[in-house]
Amino acid sequence: MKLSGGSIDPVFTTHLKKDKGYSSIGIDPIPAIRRKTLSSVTLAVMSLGMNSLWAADPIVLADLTTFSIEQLMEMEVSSASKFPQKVSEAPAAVTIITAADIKSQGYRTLADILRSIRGLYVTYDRNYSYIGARGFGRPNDYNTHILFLLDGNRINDNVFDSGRIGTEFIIDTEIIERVEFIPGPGSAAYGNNAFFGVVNIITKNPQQMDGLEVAGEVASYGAHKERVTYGHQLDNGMGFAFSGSVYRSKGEDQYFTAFDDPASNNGVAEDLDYDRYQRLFAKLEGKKFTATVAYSDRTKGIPTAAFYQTFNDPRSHTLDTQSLINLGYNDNIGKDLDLSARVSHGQYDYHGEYIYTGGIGRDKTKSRWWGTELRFISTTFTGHKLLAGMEYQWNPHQDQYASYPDANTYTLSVPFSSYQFGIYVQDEYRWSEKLMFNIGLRKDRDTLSKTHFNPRIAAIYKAGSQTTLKALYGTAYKAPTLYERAYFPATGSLNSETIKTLEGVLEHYISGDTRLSLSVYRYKADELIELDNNSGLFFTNLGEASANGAEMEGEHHFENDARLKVSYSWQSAKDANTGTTLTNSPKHLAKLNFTTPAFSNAFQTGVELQYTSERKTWLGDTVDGFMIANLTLISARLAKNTEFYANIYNLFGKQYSDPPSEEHIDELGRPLTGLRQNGRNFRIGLAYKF
Amino acid sequence: MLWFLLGWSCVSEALAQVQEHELKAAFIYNFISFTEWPGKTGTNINICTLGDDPLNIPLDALQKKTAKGAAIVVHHLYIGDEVKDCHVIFISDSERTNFPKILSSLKSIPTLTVTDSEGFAAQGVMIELGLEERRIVFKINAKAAKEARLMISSKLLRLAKVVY
Repeated sequence: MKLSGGSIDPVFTTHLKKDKGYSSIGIDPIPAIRRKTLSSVTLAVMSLGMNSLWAADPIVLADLTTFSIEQLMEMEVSSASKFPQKVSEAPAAVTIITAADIKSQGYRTLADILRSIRGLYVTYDRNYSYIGARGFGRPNDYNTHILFLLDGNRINDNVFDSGRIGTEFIIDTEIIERVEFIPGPGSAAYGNNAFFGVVNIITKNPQQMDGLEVAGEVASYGAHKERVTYGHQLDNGMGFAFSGSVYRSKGEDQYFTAFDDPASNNGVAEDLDYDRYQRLFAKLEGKKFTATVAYSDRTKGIPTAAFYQTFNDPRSHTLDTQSLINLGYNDNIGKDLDLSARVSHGQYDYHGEYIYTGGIGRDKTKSRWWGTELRFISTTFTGHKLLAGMEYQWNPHQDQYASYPDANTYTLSVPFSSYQFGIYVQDEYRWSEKLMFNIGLRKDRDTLSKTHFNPRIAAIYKAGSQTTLKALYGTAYKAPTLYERAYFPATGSLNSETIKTLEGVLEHYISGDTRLSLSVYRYKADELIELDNNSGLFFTNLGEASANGAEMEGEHHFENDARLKVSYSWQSAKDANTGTTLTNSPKHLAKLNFTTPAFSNAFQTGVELQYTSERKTWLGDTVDGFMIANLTLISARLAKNTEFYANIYNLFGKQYSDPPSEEHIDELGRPLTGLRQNGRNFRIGLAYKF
Repeated sequence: MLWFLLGWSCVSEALAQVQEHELKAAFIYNFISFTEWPGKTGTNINICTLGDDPLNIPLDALQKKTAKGAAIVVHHLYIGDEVKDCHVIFISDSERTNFPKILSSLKSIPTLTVTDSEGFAAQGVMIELGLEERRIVFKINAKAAKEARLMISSKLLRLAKVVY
């Protein structure tokens, strides 16, 4: 009998390539299995020496064949070699950044991770980092248009509605398992703030943190960080993990042309770029329960004299303290019915000391919330995956206080409390093998007692096994934040911002190793809330803006386990009234990430290139476009149980600036024309596993 | 600083990591014991591969093993090759455009067809391996197996994510 198969693709008739790319799998869940495999693999490799890890593979296989199918089914894949197919069924062009990417590219903050995602860009004002998406990165937007979830729990606070992504973020990047970015409006599923997208940060589970690890690193600008991480999984499936870290950075003296005056220390802010944080994280995980606790506080000097301060005063700083408690429960409660429930509590305290000739002005924010969500997923009806849920959040404190310089009492004192409620349904309807619909609707009652309906409709068409086409319509809203409503007394009543979008996505796989993705979109946002500084500062619904854009991305996995990802975004975001391009909106973004094993797999190298084109500033001028390169070298083979890493950020020492916002003006009324970013800088570190 | 305190030694050690393909190969090895072929199995169990795939290498390593008391022999086939008495045939994703023709040429031959190309269990491949929530899962097309006179044990059917 002969096999018949039509035309033969020449690529696949060549002889077997013995080194065809694999990627790793961490075997784990049952500790007994792990021990067994570990010891035999270790023995095998030690006898073979340093450069022959591949030769050890058959021995690993021999071990695997001794396991039962149930045990094999429990083993977990830590990085999938092929692309996760499920992503191609998502009603968006989803990007996933994994722990392996974080390590191989040397990402220190969530901001670093997000910056690597196509279509996203980050603005750092030497205090906080702000994210821009699809051409919208408006100054004074404190990350309120992206919803941030930590293991599925909302972490935007309830005063600024801010997601904190720089050193002020609540957990270490080292304990992140993956970050998913779902671009486009997500209010139909997530309610408020899911305006331009949703970022879901998933933490590692106890198995993935397995054992005790201590790590230490030093970096440019007098920085050092120490971390201890411990994870343990019991035989009964319960697991426990803990992580704590301390970071200190002296920072670099910052020079500002705008303040270059002998009376202002010739424009040099001395010892004001310091940055310190400490973080704690703990997780308890059973088969159905998860409990997570996280805490962080960060103190940052303000070198920019933002908010009309006296330039170069060493007392100027902010302190951000946050903590979270999340309890989650997942269970199968019926034949085709899954329940997931969660309860969370969040605290965020912001304290700012701003220095003026008259003394210290203080800002204080107390944000507290309790959230709960109940979600049912049913697959009772053939072809349908139905999801229904409700979410309730009680905000006992959304309090803001501010005092004039050296005043004894708070000039601004706005305690506030409220609740918000959302109810949603979603249907994933498989019309045929090829065509799927994802329809969602959510009703929200916001903190102003206003009601919002947000629908989403997605059609997902599998044109063959390699190609997926998606047509997406989405809507979202963002209610005015408490900060926008109450901080500046001159602010009148504000409406919610709304957005309607259309997007087309094409995802194509050329063999299992190459993926191409293309998106075109049209966004139309209305009632955008902006800071008006024409007659004193206040927020108002000024803006109507629209954006058109296209994003393309290609990813290829090479045979030696090297991976390349390249993306380009073109975006045109314009003010609908004036027809002019929005401020802080680059027309072009290009990114490249490449990782490869080097020196007989003794090292893993990561190269990152990022290009951002020029951006308009609120002053009417522009900051130049720039290209930066980052380089990472990792080795787990230099010493026993030790992983060594070294990074060079901004390899070519490119001098570039981010656009300032209206708040970057000093006491003498001098606005900053650009926020200078770090030049070439380094980091080296070691992680030791016991 | 912490890292000054840490020791530095020159012994290299492997991480406790294996490859996805190794794990899939172990699944395929396991499937043999859950399958009954019509008539006698003989002294060899033939595992065939069709197309170029990274999985071919770990499957090669099964050659030294035994299953059901028979020695495993691995054959790599390409389109146009003779099908030797394949007990199991792993069809690579590289052949995805040829699947319908391959399946029709294998029709009614008692060969356990396995792939990790998505969506093909529904189209007549007996076992489809996949990744879900970072674990290996599989779908079984019991109808196709029955037509080829193969008996797949009920235990394996129970463990399958989907049975067609």
